[in-house]
Amino acid sequence: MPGMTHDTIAEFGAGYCVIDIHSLFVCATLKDEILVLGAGDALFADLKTDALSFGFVPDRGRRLDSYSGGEQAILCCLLLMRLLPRDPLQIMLVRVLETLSPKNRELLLLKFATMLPAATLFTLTPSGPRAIHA
Amino acid sequence: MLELPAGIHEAANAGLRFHLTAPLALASGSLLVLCGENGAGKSTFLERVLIPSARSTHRILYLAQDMDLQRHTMAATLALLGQEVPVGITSLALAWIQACPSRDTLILDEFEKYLRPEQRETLDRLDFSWVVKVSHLCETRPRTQHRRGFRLLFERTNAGPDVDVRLEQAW
Repeated sequence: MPGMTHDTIAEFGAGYCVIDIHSLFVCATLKDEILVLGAGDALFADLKTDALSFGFVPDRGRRLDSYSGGEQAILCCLLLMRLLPRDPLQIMLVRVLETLSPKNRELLLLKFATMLPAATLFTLTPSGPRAIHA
Repeated sequence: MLELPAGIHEAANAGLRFHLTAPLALASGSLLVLCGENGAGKSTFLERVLIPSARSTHRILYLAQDMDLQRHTMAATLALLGQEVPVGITSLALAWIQACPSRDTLILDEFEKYLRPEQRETLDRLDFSWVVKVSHLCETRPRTQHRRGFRLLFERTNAGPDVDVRLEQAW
């Protein structure tokens, strides 16, 4: 699953959907990532609209590692928001929010609240997962 | 001095043009924080403009945003120095930074987000003449020998190639 690394999966993967800044994607481009996830072309159009509010326009054929770290984190989160079920999930953001500007941080949390209202977001602190309260 | 002339600095391969509105001239004992929205070009500016410019006059220690790329270099350096090689990437990077006292300029790209408060304090106490960092975390004046703090503000409009870069003094 995009966004999960071995260490955080091993420790928290059973109970959380882990989005880790160290390993956001499995493919080189958004086009391939969407293909591997079995999603249709319409998903890219939705992602493009979503990303616009964060100040950038993704290109399906552009190498994902050519985006800034913050843009990559945003793209991964937007992708998962569109694909995850609207269930009471536990989503752990590992060093994702710290990579974002204060404005984008707030926007992303708002987007999560809108797209996945039943989900609870967590960050990973030295003492373990901590819920993010809006 | 850590210097960069005013004017347009091209990062052609990245398709960006940085417009520095005033010259950058930072005396020893300065901390410079690069600030701006995601995608404004801060890391590109470090890699394609500042570091190439400063490389000939400064002894630079640079930790890139993706630390994993430097993992083997850091481990090998510590091993060659006869020092213990920590397993975790954050501890490895900290040990590597502390093991290189002959450098005068430390450049960190979003390293702070990995640090616990006591690790941040350790970093603040290291004796580098210049520290340059990209960080989205709230910048408070560190307890450090850095007498002057500056922010370099990046503003890129409409995801185009032009980025305005403006210096302001923080303390």
